[in-house]
Amino acid sequence: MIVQLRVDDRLVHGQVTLMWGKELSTKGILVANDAAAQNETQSSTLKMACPSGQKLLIRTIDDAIKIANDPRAGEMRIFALTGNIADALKLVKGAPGRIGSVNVANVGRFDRSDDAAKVLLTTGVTLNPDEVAAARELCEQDLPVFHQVGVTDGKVKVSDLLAKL
Amino acid sequence: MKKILVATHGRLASGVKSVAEVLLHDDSAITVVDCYVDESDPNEQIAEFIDGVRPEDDALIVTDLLGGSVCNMVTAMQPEKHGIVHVTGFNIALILECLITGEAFTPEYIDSVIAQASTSMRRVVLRAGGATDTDDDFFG
Repeated sequence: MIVQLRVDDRLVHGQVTLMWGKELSTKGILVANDAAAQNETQSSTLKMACPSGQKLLIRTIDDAIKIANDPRAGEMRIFALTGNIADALKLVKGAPGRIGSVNVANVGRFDRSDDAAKVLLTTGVTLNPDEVAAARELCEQDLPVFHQVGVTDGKVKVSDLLAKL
Repeated sequence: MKKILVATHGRLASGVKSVAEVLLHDDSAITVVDCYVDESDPNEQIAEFIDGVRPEDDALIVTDLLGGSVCNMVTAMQPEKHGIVHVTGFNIALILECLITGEAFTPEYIDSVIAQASTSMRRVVLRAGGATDTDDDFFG
């Protein structure tokens, strides 16, 4: 199963991904990102950043939903990544019961949407109106949704952060 | 307690601490000595670190350049006699691994970290190399 789905606008990045793989004892990384899945250069870059000993699959959101629902995924500990909250929401809704938790870690800093319309949820999490709406809907799903950047950081519930907006 | 001293020519050491703060949100294990940026004596700062290490601590000193004066200074203080491992010519991958690991800083463990971290300095070539592409490979 997907032990944790991390929302991180840098997707796979070296030591941080390595650290979470160790922490969660996951054997595979599933990147659910339409742009990366359809762009050879971007997918190659992500492959290079993949820690040794970890399997990596880069798929569009729709294909990632199929992977999450694959019976074999039930027996494998998987760490999944999306680049934004809207993508995470699609994956969660498309694969009910297949995802353990969602970690909204770093998001919205480089999405090129209008900065004036964005709100700062917490350090490293900057949301445009669409992302705020997706975050609210994500918190209504039946799984824990929290913010935790590093393994040594505490978990903060995203619903608590949204309540302060 | 985990204690890592980073001693370098100039402000590289402070820069390493900054990397740890950005990536791990915790740089508390790192003590820095930026050598020769002012008139202070780096010998004193390094000696102070060594004196502060207790037998139960996991302590490591990293310096920037083999044969450089900072490396030589640390070598002359024989940190190994205090149970402290000294690594020179470090990279950031090594520092991060030492910060996040739960392993004790034995010479053998540090050798394994050096071996692993050394593979991360390479000429960058964009190619598929090694990662899986099919669903079957992923689940296999």
